[in-house]
Amino acid sequence: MSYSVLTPTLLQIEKPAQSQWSKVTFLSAAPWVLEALDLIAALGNLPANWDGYGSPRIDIRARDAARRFVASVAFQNLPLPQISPVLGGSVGLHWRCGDRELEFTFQPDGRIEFLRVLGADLDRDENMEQGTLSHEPQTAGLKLLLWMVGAR
Amino acid sequence: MLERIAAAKRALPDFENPPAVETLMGVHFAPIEKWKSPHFGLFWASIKGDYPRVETQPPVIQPAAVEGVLSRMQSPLEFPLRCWFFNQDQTRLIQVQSNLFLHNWRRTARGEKYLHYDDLRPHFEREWHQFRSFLQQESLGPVKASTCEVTYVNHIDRGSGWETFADLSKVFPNWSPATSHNVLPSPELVAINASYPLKDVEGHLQISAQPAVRQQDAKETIQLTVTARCKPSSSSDDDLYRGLDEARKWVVLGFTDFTSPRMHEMWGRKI
Repeated sequence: MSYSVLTPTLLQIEKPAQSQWSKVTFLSAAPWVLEALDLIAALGNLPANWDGYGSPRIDIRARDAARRFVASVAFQNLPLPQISPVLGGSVGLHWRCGDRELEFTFQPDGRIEFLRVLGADLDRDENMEQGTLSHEPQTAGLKLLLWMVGAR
Repeated sequence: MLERIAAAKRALPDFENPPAVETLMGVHFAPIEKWKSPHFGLFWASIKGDYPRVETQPPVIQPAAVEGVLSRMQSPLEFPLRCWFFNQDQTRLIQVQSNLFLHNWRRTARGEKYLHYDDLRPHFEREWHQFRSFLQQESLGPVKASTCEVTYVNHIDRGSGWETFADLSKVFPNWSPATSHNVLPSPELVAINASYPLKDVEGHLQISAQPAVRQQDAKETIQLTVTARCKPSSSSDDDLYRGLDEARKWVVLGFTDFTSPRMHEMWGRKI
């Protein structure tokens, strides 16, 4: 019988241990956060039918959820995501890092859907995974983002 | 004597609506050699009535202890851990690791009543007493305390006394946006770290002002963390409580001295 040597997870390395309980993201570690928050807030200025196909305005609940998510998951090596309005009044965040892509969609009803893609061959099912972040979405989202930046 | 202590306490600055969102107090001690992972569960069983939720966390590592902790991390059988035990309404937290015992209180909503140190210290005394009893009961040896710590975490939100980082001199009088030749534009971020030796006691006061975004509501803020650590005269309860009182005194004095009278007025300074 062998015992594995335990090592700290990358999650712990990216978010160093603190004795403080209240959670903040320091802007010195992720200076792009303010820009991302402003871009998400600006989606609220889009009028109804912003896409010419009758889409409603971007829902404030979706915007708030996306802002809280960005404020929670930001870490040093993570770039500014592409931020876009999504049909139905939702907010989309899209990150790409090398051959890995990750997309989160924040729905007005509180659901956070994700799609992750590895490699260019989208015909292979094993290269794609989609689902909903349900339990502790910030932690689940952070794990996906660490996967995207190459942390295993 | 008690009257003098009470008068000294009253002499500390006090605010109607301070920006504190969290306070923590606790004791650092020499690692308890016999402490093993199952002890977390055994201790939890003794406080579970008041602290029904638990989370495991990576340990807090003091810079001076990194080497020792890393060598322990390489041990195949024991991994350093910290456990968080929460009360039911998620306002109080006990943190335990083999060389640390902390008690945190946090404000969960903006309008919630701020709990003063005098309200919180009795909680700490009770939990600390339980912890010491547990160590005795499990024959884990006496605590050899090295440091008493008190930390206040404050959030000074954008729009509450400052709008841009060039305004920070209105919040922190020791900082200025002035440069020698006015070549630089207004700063886009400012962070301040300062350390002061404590007077009449062995210890330090650390003050950190860091721009941040609060995860709960994505609001931009300056997190002003004020930490006093001092060496207690001994590991007796009385000396530890005295050490905590001393640390708290310096946190309050340091916070007040580091921030401006204009902000004190906004926070409703009473004394």
